[in-house]
Amino acid sequence: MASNKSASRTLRRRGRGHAVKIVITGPFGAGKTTLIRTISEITVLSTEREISAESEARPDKARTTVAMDFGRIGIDSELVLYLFGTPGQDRFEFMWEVLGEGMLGYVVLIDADRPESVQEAVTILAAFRKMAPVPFVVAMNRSSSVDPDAEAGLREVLALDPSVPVLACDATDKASVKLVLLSLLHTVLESLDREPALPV
Amino acid sequence: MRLDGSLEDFTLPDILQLLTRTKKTGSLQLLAAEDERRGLVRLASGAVNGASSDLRRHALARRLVGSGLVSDEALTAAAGDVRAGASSLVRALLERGDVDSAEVNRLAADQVTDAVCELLRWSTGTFSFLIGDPDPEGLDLELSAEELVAEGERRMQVWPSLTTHIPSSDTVLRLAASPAFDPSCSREEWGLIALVDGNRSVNEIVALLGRSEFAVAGVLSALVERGLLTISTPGAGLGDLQRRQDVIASLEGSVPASEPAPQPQAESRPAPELVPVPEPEPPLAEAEPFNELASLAAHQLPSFEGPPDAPAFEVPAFEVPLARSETVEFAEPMTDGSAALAPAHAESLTPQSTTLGLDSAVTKSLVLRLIAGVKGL
Repeated sequence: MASNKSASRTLRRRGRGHAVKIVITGPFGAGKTTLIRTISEITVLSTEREISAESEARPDKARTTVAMDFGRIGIDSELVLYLFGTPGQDRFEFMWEVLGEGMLGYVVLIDADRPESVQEAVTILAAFRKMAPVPFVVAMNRSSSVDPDAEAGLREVLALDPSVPVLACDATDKASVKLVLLSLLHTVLESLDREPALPV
Repeated sequence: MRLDGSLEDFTLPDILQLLTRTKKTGSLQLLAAEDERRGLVRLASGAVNGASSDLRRHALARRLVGSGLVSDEALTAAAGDVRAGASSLVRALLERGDVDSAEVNRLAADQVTDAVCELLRWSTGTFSFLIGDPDPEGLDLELSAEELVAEGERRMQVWPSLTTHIPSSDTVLRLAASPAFDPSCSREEWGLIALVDGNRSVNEIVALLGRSEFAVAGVLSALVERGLLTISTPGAGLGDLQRRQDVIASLEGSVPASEPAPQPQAESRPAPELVPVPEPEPPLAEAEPFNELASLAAHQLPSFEGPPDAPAFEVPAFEVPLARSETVEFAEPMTDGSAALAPAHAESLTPQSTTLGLDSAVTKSLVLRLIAGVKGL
């Protein structure tokens, strides 16, 4: 059995190619699949099925992701960014660890139209923080701006550090999704600035 | 009262037929001659209601866990019950109401089918039937032994074709670098793809999911046949791509794809020493900043607030090829599970820094390339 372990968790290398992974997570129905579909350059691999649980039934959502979504963005000739979307329901929590392995950072997507979505994100965020202490941003889907009071409440509920960006987004709009990813990448960049030199 | 014998004299289908016809209740225990593994088939009034091809393992409990139906808390509590004398993990979970009995029965039917089919492959060993032996799990299953045997025979006919694509249970698979068509797969297939990482063997995936080797190998074999997965051997896949790229490169008069590319200017310089805030970091390069990156750095993203005392990052001169390749693929999938997960950090209710867990391979130049790439979409 192959047992070669890569020295880097985040940057996978084979030959000339590098690949980096960002995970899109968030509560059920937040728009994770839509976000990845909006920005991915390939046909997004997605595993969805009809919603079965009555508690999850919503008039505007008939299907849900049960394993993961997978999208790809070619950065340049030697670098690829993969986007992995997690299933939103707690019962698929076992997939989160699989998807979170070696990620550069993650986006917590919240449905701004559903106040309960914030509370649902608490568990997810706690799991991701415990799993991998990497940079993340919080994106409020279906909103054009973030109200300062709402942001303050969100930061309190999610116990966000001031350095964690909270931004409005529209998962169906490519420019908006780009801003979310750019915000995350800037956060990663800033974290590199703040950290002392890492051991090689 | 016992019924004992040898599997060389009485095959498992023969024994099951006898027990079914006589509507017996009890447990048929089997001992494989080859590796002394112990298996078991439980019957209630002639119908099969439980089976295991390896009594050392909690096969059904593993399957429940592999299906994501059991939380850490529920599993820990049930394991405590078993240590305190509960008859089985599954029974403890059911009695605590931590799993849905209908889901358990559905998975139990699959697990029993897999186990009986596995037991049918045992050609040597002994058996012993204990009449009235109590069932520790007490599941509400009534599977036809005849149908299980028929399924087992069907699988044995199919098995040789599976080994064409999955030569052994030690086989390691990875995602295909360039499938020949837009991938499409079922939910079951996707759940397995998520576990294929270029490092785990088929055996390890079987153990993770708690499913049978046949079921897992069958799905993986189909994915290999359709070109979505390939057997992971050093250089496989990428070597093919590089060889083909070289053929095209020779027509283009450019550098062959398999040769090292010229290093971008920024990467040829020594890595900058990262210093803690508030020490400003020197620029990575001395040349003029790359215009797009400079404008991006100056751009205030909505609600993006860095620490008030953090220095603005310096944008290096950086030769970023913005045109995206349509051909370069990566032989190692990002679902690679080779890395141990980072150690657990502070609890969720404590405000968190965003800076804790990046590994040393994440450099500013890499992140700047990502920013440029996303910006250019």
